[in-house]
Amino acid sequence: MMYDFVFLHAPSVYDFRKNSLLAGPISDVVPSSPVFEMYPIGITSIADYLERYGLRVKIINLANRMLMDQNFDVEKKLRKIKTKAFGIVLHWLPHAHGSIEIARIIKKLHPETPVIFGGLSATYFHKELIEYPFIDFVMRGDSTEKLMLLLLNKLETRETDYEEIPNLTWKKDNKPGFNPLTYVPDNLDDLDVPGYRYTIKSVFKYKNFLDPLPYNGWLQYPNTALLTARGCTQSCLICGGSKEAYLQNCGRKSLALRSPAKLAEDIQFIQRFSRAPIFILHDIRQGGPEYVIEFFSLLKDMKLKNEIVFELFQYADEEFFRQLHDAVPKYSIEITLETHDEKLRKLNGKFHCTNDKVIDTLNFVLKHDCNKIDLFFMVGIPGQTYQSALDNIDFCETIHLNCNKDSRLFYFVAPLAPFLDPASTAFEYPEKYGYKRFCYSLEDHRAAIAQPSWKHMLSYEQMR
Amino acid sequence: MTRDDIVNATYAAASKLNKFKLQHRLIDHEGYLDIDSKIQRSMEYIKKIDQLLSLSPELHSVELVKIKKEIEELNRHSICGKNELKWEVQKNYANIFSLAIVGLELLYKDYAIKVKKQIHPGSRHEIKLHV
Repeated sequence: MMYDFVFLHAPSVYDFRKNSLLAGPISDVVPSSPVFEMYPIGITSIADYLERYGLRVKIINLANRMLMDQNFDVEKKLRKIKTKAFGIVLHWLPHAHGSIEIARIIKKLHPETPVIFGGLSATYFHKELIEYPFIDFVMRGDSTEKLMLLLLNKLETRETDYEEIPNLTWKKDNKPGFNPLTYVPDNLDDLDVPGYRYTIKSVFKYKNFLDPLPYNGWLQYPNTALLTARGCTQSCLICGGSKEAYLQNCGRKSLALRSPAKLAEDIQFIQRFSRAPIFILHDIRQGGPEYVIEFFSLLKDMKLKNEIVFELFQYADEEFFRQLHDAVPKYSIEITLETHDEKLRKLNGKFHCTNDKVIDTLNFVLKHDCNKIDLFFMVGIPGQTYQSALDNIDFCETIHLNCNKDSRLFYFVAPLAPFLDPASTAFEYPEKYGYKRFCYSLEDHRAAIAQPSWKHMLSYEQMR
Repeated sequence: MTRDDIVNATYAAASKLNKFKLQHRLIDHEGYLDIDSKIQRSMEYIKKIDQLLSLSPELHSVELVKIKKEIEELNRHSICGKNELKWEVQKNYANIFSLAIVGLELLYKDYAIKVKKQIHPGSRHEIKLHV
């Protein structure tokens, strides 16, 4: 079968099956293993959009296929594919090694087929990427569905006036071209983010359910996620998806929200095939009070069967949880608190309120029948000392005692690892926030992620 | 914190958290011992890998292969329990029958797109960008 476009999701390190890497806890608090086999949900959105225009698009999660089968032969799989273009995902920087190696293999096997990179990290390092002889294009920005169609149209008709496509980095006769990053849509309602319709359809259409599986173990624990927005209202120092990072990397000046109606429609759709939890990514309060009221009202009118998981970026009052529970019978909450230290929280941006307010928030959630609350603390944030990292656990105890030792509270600690997020404020101004960076270029990160222990993978340390 | 401090602080905090969870019966004793053992072994291997890296590249590659299997066991759920992150999942999470119906509906829509494309092959080129 000839495809119009094939997405490939690489493991963080290629070939992790042959290397000895002590990745330790770097992926303990995410669904992926240290291979980072989960692909960014945005690629399903692109695939969904392209298929609306009759293109044949396939997603192959190579990382997961390699994890699931020690004998999975990557080159054999890639050799057989017939497509007009390959897309390689470099969204999260830990894929710096695997994505490049997969591109190298693709070009060796299919020298005439264009290789297109995309994702937030690819956007950041586009100038470096286009220098590789086996990479032909980098599609920059956070919303590239329509741009990808424009590029694939050019490739189809063999037109080479690539300068017409916004956000595109390209090359012709080995000379790179960098088009201005001007396409930054403020509305996402004409897209499915993520494209679950595409994902389900592709299983039947291409008769393969292994290739698009999101992560190892998804069949046993098939949770789904919905994106409420692209961009962010928060200014967290270490986040590559912060307001500042989106502005710097994607030219995004404001949040692009999905409407409550569209979110509700997606929840209805997921309910048709799954009873697993649905994770609503981002704090829905970013949309403002009216957005929250409308969303809750739509959820209330729906016969909700699945558990819905919400993220909180800041303090919430009791009324919020009363309304939430009124609309959603079964829900859980995720809070990345990062630290017990109020001053550090203020500096870093998340939950910049007092510890008393943190405990108040938790008690409100518990009072309004939340199913589970996950609280995350972090080691390595700006301004943190060794002792402060340990004191986080004392704060866990304070929380626990002040919340009647409620067993619905779950506590986690994880390192800021392996890398500082590109475009995050901490990445851009390391000295200002007490960091010493070891990695600057993509190549630096590519070398770091292949180090034999996570200590040597770390792209930073704090200045003394 | 240096790289060493970040690693040590992570394992020290994880160890302290593990004890706290046991003390408040948030995890069982078996779960506690599993994480405690993984933390201790991870710290040992961090040191061992540091020592190996001081050898020549050829030699340390050979030595790393020898410990591959052991360190792989420490690459998942090394500082928190396997199921702690999970939200509840019902046993019958997916209804195969309804999934098949959804799949057929989507295939039908896809077929309609295919027909539309044959009637109007240029539609993919009519895309306009609105910023």
